[in-house]
Amino acid sequence: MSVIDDVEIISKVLEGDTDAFSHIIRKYQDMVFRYVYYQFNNYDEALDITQDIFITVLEALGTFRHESKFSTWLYSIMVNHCKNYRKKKNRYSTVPLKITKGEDEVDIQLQDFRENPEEKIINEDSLRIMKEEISKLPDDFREILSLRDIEGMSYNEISDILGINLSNVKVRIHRGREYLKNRLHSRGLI
Amino acid sequence: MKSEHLSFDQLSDLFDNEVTDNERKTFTLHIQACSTCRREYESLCMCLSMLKGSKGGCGCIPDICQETIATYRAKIRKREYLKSVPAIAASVLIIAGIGFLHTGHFMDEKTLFSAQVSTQGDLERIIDSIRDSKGRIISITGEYVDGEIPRSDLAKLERVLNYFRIKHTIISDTQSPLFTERSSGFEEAGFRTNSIAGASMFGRGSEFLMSSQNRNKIHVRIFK
Repeated sequence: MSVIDDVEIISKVLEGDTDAFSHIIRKYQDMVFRYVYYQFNNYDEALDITQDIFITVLEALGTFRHESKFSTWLYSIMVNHCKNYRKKKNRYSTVPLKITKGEDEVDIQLQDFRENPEEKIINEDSLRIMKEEISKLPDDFREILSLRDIEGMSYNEISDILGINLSNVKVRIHRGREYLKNRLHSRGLI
Repeated sequence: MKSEHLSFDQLSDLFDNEVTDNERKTFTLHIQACSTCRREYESLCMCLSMLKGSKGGCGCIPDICQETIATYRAKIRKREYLKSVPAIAASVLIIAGIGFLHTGHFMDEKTLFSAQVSTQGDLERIIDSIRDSKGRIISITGEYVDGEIPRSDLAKLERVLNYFRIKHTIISDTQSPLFTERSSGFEEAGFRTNSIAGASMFGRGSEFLMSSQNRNKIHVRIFK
């Protein structure tokens, strides 16, 4: 679905066809969920937040001014929503009664890695360690590495989404990568 | 270049291809020649490959379209309802206000005071008190209770009403009315007792006038 399609869908939704928004949700839900999941490392929480993000987008759709790509606008809402949620969560720290994991959470989707020969096939243990280390990253690093190295966004896109200049984006990416590499090295993963 | 290792930022830029052609050439040559930088670069590549490989590690997400849109609609409905609450509250207040105006249940010097016979219990007590005073009930209306008691029992009745804290006005035919007005066959009389103003309309030939002929009896009216 192209950018024009997004615009068409937005027009339909703004004209009152709320159901048309389901196309937007289907298109972006995986990416949004993945980002949220790596920010909070909890399947159920990520699912709820993903839904909240789409509701926020739907509510704010009238304010989208087409100055940037719709995806960039959506991702900036996603990033801000996660920041706000984290702040709220830190203010009221909770103790979970039980930790639930999504049924498919432990399933490793190897298909992606096979498709791309540059990517290493990682086993369950290394995935677990990697997830642990991602969750331990400082918020700024986790946020930017998710966008750059997991989602593969360009520096410019990240700059627009996070609202910081390009040089800051570069510096943050470098520091985040160095931090993560050292952590993985200390755990014997690389 | 061999003596000076590449910085992590340079390696990271090289990985992202955020270098000029000349830089790429120089960095690549250095990495081939310098084992330290080569190891560092390989570690970085492995780290980032694993990071990218973890993309599928968060599991599958179910289709949340229907649920999200349904939640959104419910939220909109709730918001619209909350918006209408002040209007509903204002309507209730207006209706209540009009109701008070119509029933006269508010204090105003110029209006009749309504003794608050608020409960059925109070009404029964009043009736009992009049009967206990060897009196008789003349009439019970929606606005007052009329009774006739012997003059000697007036103090007793007042004691009882005061004991139960029942606000009351006693209209005695021996008292001089504060004002009288005659018009088209009606006489209006008003009295004040303990700063409570009472007024009522009596028809000519009513029981009040009949009772006034009997000097031993007192006419009592307790307004609701």
